[in-house]
Amino acid sequence: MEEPKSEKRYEDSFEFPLWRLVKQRAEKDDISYVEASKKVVPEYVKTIKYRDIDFENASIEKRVKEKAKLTE
Amino acid sequence: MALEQLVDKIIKTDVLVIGGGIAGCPAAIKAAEHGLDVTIVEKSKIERSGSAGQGIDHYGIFPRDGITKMELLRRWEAYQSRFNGDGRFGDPNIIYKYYDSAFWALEELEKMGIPMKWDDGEFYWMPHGRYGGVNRIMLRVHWQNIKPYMAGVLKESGVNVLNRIMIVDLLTNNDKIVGATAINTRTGEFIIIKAKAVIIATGLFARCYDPETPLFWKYKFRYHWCPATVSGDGWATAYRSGAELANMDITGWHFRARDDLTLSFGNLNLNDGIAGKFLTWKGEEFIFANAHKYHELEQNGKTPIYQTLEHLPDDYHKRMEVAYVDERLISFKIAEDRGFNPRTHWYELMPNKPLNFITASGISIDENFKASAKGLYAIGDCAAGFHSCGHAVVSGLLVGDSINTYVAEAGDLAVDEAQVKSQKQVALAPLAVKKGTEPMELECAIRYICERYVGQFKSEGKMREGLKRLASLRRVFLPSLMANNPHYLMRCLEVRNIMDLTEVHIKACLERMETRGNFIRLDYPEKDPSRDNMLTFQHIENGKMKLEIRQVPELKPEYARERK
Repeated sequence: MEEPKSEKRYEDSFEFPLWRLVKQRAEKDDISYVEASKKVVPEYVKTIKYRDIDFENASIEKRVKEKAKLTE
Repeated sequence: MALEQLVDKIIKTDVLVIGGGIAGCPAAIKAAEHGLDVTIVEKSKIERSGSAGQGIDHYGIFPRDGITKMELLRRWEAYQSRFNGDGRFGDPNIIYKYYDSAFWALEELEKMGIPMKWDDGEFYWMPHGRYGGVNRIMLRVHWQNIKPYMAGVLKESGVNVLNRIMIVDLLTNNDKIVGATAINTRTGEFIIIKAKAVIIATGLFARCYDPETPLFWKYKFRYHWCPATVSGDGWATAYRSGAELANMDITGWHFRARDDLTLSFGNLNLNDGIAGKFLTWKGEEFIFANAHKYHELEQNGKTPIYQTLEHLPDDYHKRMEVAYVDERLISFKIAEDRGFNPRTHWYELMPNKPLNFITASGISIDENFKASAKGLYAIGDCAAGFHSCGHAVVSGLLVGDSINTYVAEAGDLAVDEAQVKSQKQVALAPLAVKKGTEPMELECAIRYICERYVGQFKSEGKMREGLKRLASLRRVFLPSLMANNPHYLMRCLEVRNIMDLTEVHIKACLERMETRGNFIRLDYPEKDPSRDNMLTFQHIENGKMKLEIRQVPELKPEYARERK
């Protein structure tokens, strides 16, 4: 029998970009992951469209419409 | 024998807070602000204990962005009914009070110095998929370190903080709660804490059913919603002291991802407002499955079922990474190790089955969070129907802000030595057992009873058999629990609590002779109209459990007026 990880929805090797940054920072500054995340996250957050209301609304409403087509 | 000779330490305080989570800490801090002498005990260590121990990525539900308090209440009731069927399952006045106090609590948290704002210095309001649609009614927060923050504020507030303290039982003087007995889980000291008022804030109860994880023994403490060790300590001690429990027939029902350790709250269900997709194993999408729908899927060979985030825009996948940091940093490593890339993975959901007591159960409270025993309060997940991080903080602050009135009138009541002696005997007995039963062995046996004889499809015969088996475990194995050290004494006390609450649970289910929502009795397949808006309450009277069915209160007219 095949192991679950041989299935295409499991990936043998992948990385979370933010986690990679946290680990790199922790190693560089010789600090814990918790401390490193305090330094890395504020920069990472700037690359995310948190205040783009139009983008958010469009993304959310697209999903709301998709769900509306399904019946419970 | 004098009390001093009976115990290792006696502590006197105005207010004893049991449980140092995000309900207990604000309660203690606020009570201390009123000049009260406050002691908080925590069986773990406050800096990283409880539901919020690893962090939180969201906070509260607020009446804003076009959603009124009454509309939130309506949606809360609709959400309850989605699982529990027609009718009301909690006191609407208490829930209304939560929404009514949400902004006050936010100000209080800011005064304490708790970080509430986003990186740009403004609040970041996120939509709540279940309650608000696109309306932004929930705060997205960076609360990876919320517990260290709260621990710091406790220290500054002059609260007496006692870590590694496990409560054995409450102490009573006639009908009043006058303190508690406890053990130190490192030194084994047996302690009395005399208090004018006691606030219970130990989270909810879950460990009579199997957890989500299919992994082996060492992970078997892990549940979601929310803390890792939800043994119902507060519920059980309150119950044994004579306080009333509510809704112990109503178990929490929800899809939960197996391998839950890899996920934070923001993922799968909410995703900053974009709901995850439910899929059958063949990839057919469906919206939601209550117990009946899940059963239908199972019968038609469409299970296992999955949830996926494949449809999220790239920006939202990045948001979820930030949510990992805020709520559970270890999630990154576990997901990578197991091959769960959120952009492609289908997360297996566990069968829709009783799991915990999240929706409406707990210590029965009035609108001021007073339990039925005098001098006893319940907040956060301990309070029936009050289950979320927002509820926890708000209830803690409200009780902390008002408990001085009770304390001023409480007087200094004596502690019953015989009661202390009996509690000490129960607590320390496992130390004397050399070849006995491991706490987890007994706990798994209790879980087996709930899974096999209660579970999703209930019937009188099965539950009576379950009760018999539970009684047998109590008679034979509870006295044989062994503890090699004080830490294991805590585990033994937890199992005792789990066993007591399991009995309460089964008896509540046995009495409810109907099928409604996710409560399924195979021998009573129809709804009983006489149970509409009626709840089950249980307490101990003269050593025996007493069960009552009472109506859910109506919403007060002054609140209801807002509806119009």
